[in-house]
Amino acid sequence: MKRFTQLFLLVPALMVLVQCDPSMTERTPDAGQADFSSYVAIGNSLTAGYSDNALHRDGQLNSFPAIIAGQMQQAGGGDFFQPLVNPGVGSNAAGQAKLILQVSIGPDGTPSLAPGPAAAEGQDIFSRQQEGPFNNMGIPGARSFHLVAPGYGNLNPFFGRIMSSGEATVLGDAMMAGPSFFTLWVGNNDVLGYATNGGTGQGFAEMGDPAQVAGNDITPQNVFNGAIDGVTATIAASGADGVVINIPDVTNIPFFTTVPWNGLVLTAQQAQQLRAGYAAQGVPEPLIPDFQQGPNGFIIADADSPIGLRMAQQGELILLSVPQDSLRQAGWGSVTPIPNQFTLRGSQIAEIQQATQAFNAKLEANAANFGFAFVDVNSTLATASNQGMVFDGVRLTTQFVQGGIFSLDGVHLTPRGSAVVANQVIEAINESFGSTLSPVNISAYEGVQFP
Amino acid sequence: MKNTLTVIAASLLVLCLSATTVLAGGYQLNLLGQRQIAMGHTGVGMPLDVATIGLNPGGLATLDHNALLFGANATFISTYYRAPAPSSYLAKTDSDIRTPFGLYASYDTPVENLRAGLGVYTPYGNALRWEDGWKYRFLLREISLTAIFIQPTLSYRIGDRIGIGAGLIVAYGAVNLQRDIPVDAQDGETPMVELDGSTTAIGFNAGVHGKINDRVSIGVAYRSQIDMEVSGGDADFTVPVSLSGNFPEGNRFDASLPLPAVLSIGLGLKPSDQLRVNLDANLTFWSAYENLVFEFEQNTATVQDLNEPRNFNDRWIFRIGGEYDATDWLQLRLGSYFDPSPVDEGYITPETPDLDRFGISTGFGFAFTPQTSLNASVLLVLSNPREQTEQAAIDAGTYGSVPVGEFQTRAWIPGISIYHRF
Repeated sequence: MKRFTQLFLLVPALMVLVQCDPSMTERTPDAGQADFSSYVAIGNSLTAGYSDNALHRDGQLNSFPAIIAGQMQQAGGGDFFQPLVNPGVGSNAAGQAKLILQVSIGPDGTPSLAPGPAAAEGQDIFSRQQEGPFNNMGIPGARSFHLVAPGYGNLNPFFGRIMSSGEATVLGDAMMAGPSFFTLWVGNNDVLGYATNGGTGQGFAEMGDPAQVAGNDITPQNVFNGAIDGVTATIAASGADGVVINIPDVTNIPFFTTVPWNGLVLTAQQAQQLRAGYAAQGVPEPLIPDFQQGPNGFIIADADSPIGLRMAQQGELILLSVPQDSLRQAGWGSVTPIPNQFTLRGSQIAEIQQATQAFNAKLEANAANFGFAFVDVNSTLATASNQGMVFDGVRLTTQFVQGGIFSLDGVHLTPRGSAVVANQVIEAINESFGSTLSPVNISAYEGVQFP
Repeated sequence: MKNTLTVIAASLLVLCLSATTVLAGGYQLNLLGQRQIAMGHTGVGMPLDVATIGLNPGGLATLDHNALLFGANATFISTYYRAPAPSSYLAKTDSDIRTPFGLYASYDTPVENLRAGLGVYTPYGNALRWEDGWKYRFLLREISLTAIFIQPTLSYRIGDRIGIGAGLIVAYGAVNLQRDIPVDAQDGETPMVELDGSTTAIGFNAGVHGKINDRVSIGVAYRSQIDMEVSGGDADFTVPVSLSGNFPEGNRFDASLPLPAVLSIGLGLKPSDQLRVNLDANLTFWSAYENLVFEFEQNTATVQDLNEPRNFNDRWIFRIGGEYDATDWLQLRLGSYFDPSPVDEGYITPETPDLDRFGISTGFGFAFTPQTSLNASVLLVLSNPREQTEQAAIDAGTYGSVPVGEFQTRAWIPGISIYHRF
C-alpha cells in the first residue's frame, strides 16, 4: 500500500524528469572570424535599394545590405545608417515617381494591369543634403570607375545629396564610415547603360578612356579593371573583410525578356496584307519579311539589312521600354520597324555577354586575390530564369510582375528579390569567415504589390 | 506487485530512451474516457466503465452495471518549428485550447443479456494555428479539423465470460483550412484562402471481450474507416481587387479526408483484488491517407486543384496502464504509451507536423457516493525534435510543398469526468 502511494506520488516528478530532450531553442548567430561592427555596402542602385524605377524609402528599408545588416546585428553587428529619403513616392534622376501597378481601361473597354507612375511628379529627394558617413554607399547609376572619380557628386544627384564634399569620391566617403566588413556589388551599369539603350553606344572594347565613356557605352575593360583594382586594394588596405558580388546576364532580367521577340501574332490574311504592303513600297520580293500565320518575329530596324529592317530572330530581345501603344496601334514591329534603342540584336547581345563574362572574371579574380568572399548572383538568376526557385513554399522566377524577384522597372529587385540576394551573400559570408549568420525568411518579404 | 511496478518503471525508461529516434499520430485523438486516459488510454482487454462503448463495444455487456458518463479534456498543445541551421528562426503555434469530449450511457434491454448503449465521442481532430507571418504561411496558416462520432450500440453477453458488441457510427466532420496566397497587396492586406466545409458519414465499431479467468481477460475491437467527403465547401479568397478575376468569388471545393480504421487488442490483468493492469495495442490503418485533394468548382490559371501526397503508413501504438484501489473511495491510476509517427520524412506538413509521441498519464477516481464518482486525468505528451531535410523532401518529390527544418510537439491534456452508475 505504502509503496503504491509512493509510486503515484512519484509520477508528477517523473513527468518532469522524462523530458529526455531539451526543448528547441533559438540559435544564436556567431560572427566567426569576421567583424561586423561596421558594415559598409558599396555599389550602385542595387545596393541603394532603388526599385520600381525610383529611390524611395520602402525600397531603401528593404535594400539587400539593410537586410544583411539586420542579420549581422544578431552577431555583434553595429548600426547601419542609410541615407534614407522621406516617406513617399521617391524619385529617379529625371524626377519621376516610382512605378506602381495600375488598372487601366483600354480603348475596347477591357481593364488591364500595367505599371504607371505613382504620382505625376517624383518626390524632391535631392534638395536636402544628408550628412554621413553612411553605411549604405549604393549610388544609383554608378559605374565601376565612378566610385573612384573625384567630384562625381556634381554629375550624379544621388551621390550629390550625400557626398562629404564637392571633390569627394564614393569610395572615399565609404571608407570614412570605417568599414570592418563590406559588400561590393558594382559593374552592372558598366554593361546596362549599353543594354538598356538598345546597344546604340560603343560595344565591348579592351582599351578606352573613362572620360570618353558615354551613358550608352560599355565600359572598356581597362577602365573597369583599373577601377576594380583601385576599389578592392583600398578596402583590403583598410583591413576590412568582405564580399564581392558579380553581375547578372541581361538575358535573365525581365527588362529584356518580357516582350517576346516573336510577339507579332497574325492571321493568314494579316500576313498576306503585310507582305503586300511591303511589296507596294517597292521592297523586292526576296527581301520582304516572311510573314506567316501565327507568331512572327517583330520587324526591327537593322542598318545592316539592305532595306534597313528585318524580322527579329530567336534569341534577340525587345526591351521593356518599347512603347506598348506604338506596338499595338501604330504598327510598330509590323509595318514600321521597332527603332534600335528598343531592341538588342544578336551581335549586340554577344557584346554584352562578352563584357559581362570579362567583368565577372575580374571581380572573381580580385575577390580571390584579396581573400574576399565571392557571390555568383549571375548563376542564381540564371537558375531562377531557367527553372525557378522555391523558398518557404513560394516559387520565384525572373518573370516580370509575377516572378517576385524583379520590381516594376524590370531591372531592380523587389524586397523579396533583395532577400534572396541577402541570403546568398549571408551563405557566402558564413562559408568564408566561419560565421553563422542567420538567413532571413523569403516569405517575410514582399514582391510586386497589386491594387 | 513489486514486479509489476518494476515493469512499469522499466518500460517508462525504455520508452524514454527509444523516444530519441524520430517519432507520431496523425490527427487521431485517443481521449475516449478519463479512467482510460489516466491508464495510458488502455481498456480494450478490460472494460472499466461505459467508455468501453468507444474502446471495445464487446465489453459493454460484461460490465456489472449501467452508467451515465460525461467527460471532457482541455488540450494545451505547443508545436515548435525551427528552421535549418544556421537560421535563428523559431516559430510556434498559438495554443488554441480545444475540448474533446465523451458522453456515454447504457441500459439493459428487455432481452436477457442484451445491453444497449450510446456513445458520443471525438476520436479524431486537429487544431493548429501558426503565428502570423510565419515562414511557411503559404503552406498553412491554420487548420481545424473536428470529428464527432455518435454511436448507438448493442452488446450481448454469452455466458459469464464473453461479450460481443457492435455500434453504428454516424460521424459529423468539419474542416477549416487557411493559407496565405503568395501575392502582395497595395493596401497591405495579406491575401489568403479559407476553405471551410462539413459533412456526415457512417461507419461501425465492433468488438469482443472475454474473461479467461478471474485474473486475465482479453479483448479485440475494430472501428471502421470513415471517409469524410466534403462536397461544395466554401472556398473564400481574399485577394487584391485587380486579381479578383483570377480568384472567383463564391468558389466551392470538394475534398475527402479518411478517418482511418483502428484495430485494437488488449490484455487485462488483475494481479490482486486492488490492482488492475492493462496492456493494449492499436493498429491505425493510416495508409488510407494517400493524398490531400481539394478540387475547386471553378479553376483558373491561379486557382488549380490541390493534390499533395501524404503517404501515411499503418502504425501500431503500444500502451500500458495500471489502477490501484488505495481505499474504497480512491483509485490511483498511471499509464504510458508510445505512439510512432505514421508519416515518413519528406511528407511532414505544417498541418500535421507529425513525430513519434511518448505519453505518460496519471489520474484518480474519487467516489462521492457508491454511485457517483469523479475522475480526473492528466496526460503529458512528449516528443523529440524531428527533422525534415531538404534532401528528404526532394527524394519524396514534395520539395516546395513541405517545410524543411525541425518540429517538436509538447502537450498537456488534463481532463475530468463525472460517472454515475445505476
